[in-house]
Amino acid sequence: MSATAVHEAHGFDPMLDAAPGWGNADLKALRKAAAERFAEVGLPTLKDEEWKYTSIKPIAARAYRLGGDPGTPQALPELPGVAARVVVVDGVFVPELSSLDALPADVAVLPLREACEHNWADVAAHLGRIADWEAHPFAALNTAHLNDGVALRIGGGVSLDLPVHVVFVSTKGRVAHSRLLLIAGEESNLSVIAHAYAEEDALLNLVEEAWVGAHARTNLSRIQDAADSGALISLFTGRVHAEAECETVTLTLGGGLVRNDSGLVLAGENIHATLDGLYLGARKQHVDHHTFLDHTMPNCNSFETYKGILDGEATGVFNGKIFVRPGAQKTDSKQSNMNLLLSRDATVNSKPQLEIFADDVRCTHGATIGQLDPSQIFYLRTRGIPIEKARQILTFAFANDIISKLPHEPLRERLEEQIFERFASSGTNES
Amino acid sequence: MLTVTNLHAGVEDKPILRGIDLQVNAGEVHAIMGPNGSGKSTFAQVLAGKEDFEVTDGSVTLDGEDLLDLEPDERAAKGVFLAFQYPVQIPGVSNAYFLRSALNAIRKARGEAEVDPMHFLKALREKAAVVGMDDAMIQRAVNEGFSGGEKKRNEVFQMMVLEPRLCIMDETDSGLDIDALKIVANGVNAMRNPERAFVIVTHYQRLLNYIVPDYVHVMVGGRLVASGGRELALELEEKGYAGFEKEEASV
Repeated sequence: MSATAVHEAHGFDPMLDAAPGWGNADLKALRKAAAERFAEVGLPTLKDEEWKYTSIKPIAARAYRLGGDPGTPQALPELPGVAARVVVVDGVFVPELSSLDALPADVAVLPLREACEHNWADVAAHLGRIADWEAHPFAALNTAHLNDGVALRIGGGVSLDLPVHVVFVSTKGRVAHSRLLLIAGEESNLSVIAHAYAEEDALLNLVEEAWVGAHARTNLSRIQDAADSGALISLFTGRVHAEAECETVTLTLGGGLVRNDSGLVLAGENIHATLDGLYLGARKQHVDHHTFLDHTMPNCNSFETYKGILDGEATGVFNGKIFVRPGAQKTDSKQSNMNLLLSRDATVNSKPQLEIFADDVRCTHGATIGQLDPSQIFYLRTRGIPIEKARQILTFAFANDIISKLPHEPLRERLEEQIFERFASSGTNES
Repeated sequence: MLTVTNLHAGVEDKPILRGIDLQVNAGEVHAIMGPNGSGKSTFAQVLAGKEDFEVTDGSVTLDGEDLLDLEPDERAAKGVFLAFQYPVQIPGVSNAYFLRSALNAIRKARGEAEVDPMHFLKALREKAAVVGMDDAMIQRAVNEGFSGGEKKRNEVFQMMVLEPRLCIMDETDSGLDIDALKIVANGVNAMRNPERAFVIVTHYQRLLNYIVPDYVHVMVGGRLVASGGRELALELEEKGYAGFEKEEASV
């Protein structure tokens, strides 16, 4: 299907004429370039190597509603112990649902629109310049539609003890091109929890960009979910500078169609980066994770563990790229992808992809696909634990390895409980 | 308590147990000795309910109730416990959580209330101390990174916490040095009482110096070919299994 036909049939009209650029010429140019790029490449098909295992037909076959006032979300996650809550519904920042009052002066959350109107120099400098939308059709589409979203900026040297909670929702039947730009100043300390949810028949097309300054410590916890008839496509890219620590955990709880591209560009020396994830799929859900760790400078380490648990007829995809650019000597990178299949009809495709152009590096990778170990199940049963409970405990233990990496205790405990309960009925095609 | 009658079991078409008869009463300690491949471990695992083995004939009852009809966890709820020859690692599940889940599952099956977490932890610590396990080992994932001796101690520790009526111990002494052997034996001896019975499977007499059995049985070729008191174990220590194997071959 041509890009134009998709626009017309499915409401992907970039509405360039209506794009004010908020008086910002750079932004207007960015949107125009992205729209042209999308018109050129169109939506991906299975023939695209990057989309080999993920058909977007369920998206292309739907008529989504775009624009207008944001809808009313069916439910919004609320968390205690956060510094601020930022809610973006159908791509638009909703102040009534957000609470920003407790933020200190040197931490700012602004709707992107306002940030651009105020001509925040650093927003203009980074927006659309961290995520590689040229290589990612949905990100190009998102950038072409750039209309609102959130910029979150923490000043240099500032530490925020509590996390900022950002919630993105695409309400029933809508398509939302949502956007987050994080700017973590040098030597800052920031953690962010980003929830993303697509309701029934909705598409959430999310682009998240993070600029992590030198010596900064940043933790990003992303929780993603979508209804069985919903779709969630996201691209997260962090650009990390020298001596920084950047930890990211992505939990995907399910969704009819989920495609998540996540990665970090290590643009300075002595960076410590982690990129971890857990993806769950049940019924006929499809959950695709593509990750990348781009080592452009020497003496950085990156650790990546992605785990998948697929039940029912769900399909999972993992593709993990590690680039070690020429000159990125003494890179230490470790990638692991482990998958647990709970039913005979669940499938997963796992592919590590290492491209190494430096000779003094250590890069390891490993991928496994397996089932619960019958000897472990038997062991638990001989101690009095019934088989369903034994399966639940073992499945949860596999997942908890990643859940335990979430630093925010209320969030972690809630997810522990939710995911443990979920596995009470796992291992059957009906679940 | 435990009555085994003419028990036959095997894998696929290969018979391993070929007619075992055994009566174990409350308060008794029975040792089952035999050469490698005689079926000792199979017997222990069949009693615990391992599905890899098919029971082709005979019966096993616990206080008159058909044990073979029960799932492994149902057997545990009835008070059957198997200390594994090769304890399984359970990454991501702490010993404390594992044992609380197990104890609560058993209590639930018996219609009893769940244990109070604080009392449970206290009891856990006291029992762990008996087998020389500290808090760190209680909080560690079940058997993960444990040495051979630590795994065996952990089996006895679990047995002490779950307080089964019928304790089946499969080669619990293998891989233990003399100090660990004494620790394990202390744990077992502390549990001996008139209501509880033990079936101890072992290749060597050594363990029986520390856990003194009431009865010793010799298993060869999937049958119990001789039974006697403790002196039988000493005789085996001296003469080995050769005599019994010859006897079995001529049958």
